[in-house]
Amino acid sequence: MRALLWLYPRAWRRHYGAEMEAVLRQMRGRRSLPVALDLVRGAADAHLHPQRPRWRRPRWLPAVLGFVALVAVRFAADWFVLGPAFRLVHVAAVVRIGATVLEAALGGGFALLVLRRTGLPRAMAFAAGCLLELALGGGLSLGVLLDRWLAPALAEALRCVLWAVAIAWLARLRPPRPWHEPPEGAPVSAKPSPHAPEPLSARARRAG
Amino acid sequence: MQRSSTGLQDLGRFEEPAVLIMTSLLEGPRHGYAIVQDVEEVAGVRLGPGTLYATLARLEARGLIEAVPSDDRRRPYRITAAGTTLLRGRLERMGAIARTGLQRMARG
Repeated sequence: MRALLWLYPRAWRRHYGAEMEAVLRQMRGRRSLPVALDLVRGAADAHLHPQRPRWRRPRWLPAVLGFVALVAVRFAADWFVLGPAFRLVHVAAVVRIGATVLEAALGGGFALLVLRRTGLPRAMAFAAGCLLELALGGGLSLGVLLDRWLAPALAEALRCVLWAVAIAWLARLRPPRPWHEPPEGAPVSAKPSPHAPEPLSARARRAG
Repeated sequence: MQRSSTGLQDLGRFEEPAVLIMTSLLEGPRHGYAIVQDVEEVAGVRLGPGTLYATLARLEARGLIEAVPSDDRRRPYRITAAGTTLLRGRLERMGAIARTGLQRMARG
C-alpha cells in the first residue's frame, strides 16, 4: 500500500509522506481496496490541484532560469520561423495574416506556461500573452517604432525583453513548485491560536 | 446552484471532509489517524488517507489549520482563529437548515 505514495508529487511526499505512511500503518486492519482507490484519487488530485501553503518560500533561481530559457526559445521561434514570413516583401497577405496569428498564439502559449500557476485564469493568461505579442510585434505603434529605429535582430530581441518584463510583472515570478519544506529551524507557527479551544488534556489536568 | 459565501464551498468535494476535520480539531491538536478515528466516531464517516491529506493540504494552504511543530513523524494539526470563525459560521448555517427542516417535517 505504501508504494502508492510514489504516485504523489515529490514535493507532496516531502511534506506529507512520513505522516501518510504512519496513517497507513495504523490503518492496516481496514479493507485495502477502498484505501488504495482513495490514495490513487488523492494522488491524481495532488497533481491536478497543487496547494500552496502560506509558508512556502519561492525558489528564485529555477524560476528565473526557466523563464530566461523560455524567452530564448521564444526569440528563436520568432526570428527563425516566423520572421522570414514577415521579411518577404511580395508575400501574399494571407500568409502575413497567418504568421501574425501564429506569432500571437506563440506569445499567448508562452504566457500560459509562465502564468498558469499564478492564479490568473488560463484564458486571461493566454489573452494577455497574445495582446502583448500583437502590441510589440509591429502591428501597433511600438512595434513599428522599434523596427524603424533598430536593426531587425535587435528590434526582435528588444521585443522579447519587453514581452518578458511585462509577463514577469504579471507573474511576479512566482515559482511553479507548489510545496516546499520550510527553512531549517523555522516552525510553521509556534503561536497558539487565541480562539482555539483548550485541549482536553489541559482541562483534565485542571479538573484533577 | 448558487450559495451565499461560507468560505468553504470552493473546496468542492472536500467541503464535507473539511467541516468534519475542523470540527474534530476543535477538541485540540490531533494527528492524521486521530482525526480519522474521531470523524468516524462522531459522524460515522470513514476518511481515506488520500481524502484526509488532500483536505488537510487545502485547509493548511488557506490558513484554516496549521501544523504543530513536533519531533514525531505524526505531525499534529490545530485549528486557527480564522478556521474557528469560518467553522462557526458554517455550523450555525447547518444548524439553521436542520432546525427548519425538522420544524417543517413536524408540521407536515
